[in-house]
Amino acid sequence: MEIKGRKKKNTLMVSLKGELDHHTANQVRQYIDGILEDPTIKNIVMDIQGLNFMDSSGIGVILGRYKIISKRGGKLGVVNINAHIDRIFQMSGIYKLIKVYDQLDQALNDMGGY
Amino acid sequence: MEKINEMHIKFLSKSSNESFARVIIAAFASQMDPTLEEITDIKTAVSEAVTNAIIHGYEDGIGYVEMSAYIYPDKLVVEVSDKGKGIEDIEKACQPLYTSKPELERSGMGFTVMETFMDQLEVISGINQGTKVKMTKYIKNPRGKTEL
Ligand SMILES: Nc1ncnc2c1ncn2[C@@H]1O[C@H](COP(=O)(O)OP(=O)(O)OP(=O)(O)O)[C@@H](O)[C@H]1O
Ligand SMILES: [Mg+2]
Repeated sequence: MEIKGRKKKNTLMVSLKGELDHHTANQVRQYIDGILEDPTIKNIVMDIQGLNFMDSSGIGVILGRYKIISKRGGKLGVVNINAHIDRIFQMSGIYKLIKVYDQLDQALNDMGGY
Repeated sequence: MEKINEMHIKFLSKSSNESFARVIIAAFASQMDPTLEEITDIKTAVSEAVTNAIIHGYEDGIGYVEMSAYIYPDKLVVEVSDKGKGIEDIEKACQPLYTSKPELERSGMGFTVMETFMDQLEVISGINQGTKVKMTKYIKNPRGKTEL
């Protein structure tokens, strides 16, 4: 799993590349939570274009980060959802909580990161 | 219908074996010439079953996870089993969003994913005996059986 993060104003942008399962979920969790120790970060945008596999462990990771960020009054957005991941997202009801964007720019705009 | 091929594999309940199991099942199933979508469905369901064996079956301990797969002319059958703690109430365990480990950020979606992505799901479990998950996927346009 390749994880890249960047901070723009009060938004953390993370891009994930590889396979998100129970094994790699820990890596993603630790990476993001490490950065979230900075209390000025309110929102997270996850770019999952490079994710070529995800199972329910991915739902757990995203919901876990959502819980942290929503306590700060922030939002969690996901960009570039493929058809496979969309099916898992739909099943889990996660769309009621997270925001979906087609493009990173849109997400950042909405979060106020620009 | 007669069985065309089968395979059996046994590995330690380490999380690094989750991707290993996905690669194995994808390679084995590819003999049937499934679509990319069918392969992804099978890999995802296997990933769920193997992950469950590791985190719920053996919890913090270590044990063996076994995977068997059978190719029939029109379908693939996959079995994933562990000799771990077992499931007390299977019906409850299979309900969407039910998890016994919310503290580990599990979402309780594993069985729902297996049910949705495969055509049949059967769970056999005994307390302190282990759990076996049997899943069937019909392949829409399998390669002619003479070719296999
Ligand atoms: N192999 C197993 N051994 C023992 N208990 C199991 C096993 N597989 C599943 N369970 C039980 O069934 C419950 C539901 O499993 P399911 O895969 O649907 O959700 P989860 O693993 O808790 O969460 P998720 O799969 O979304 O990460 C588990 O929480 C666990 O209590
Ligand atoms: Mg599970």
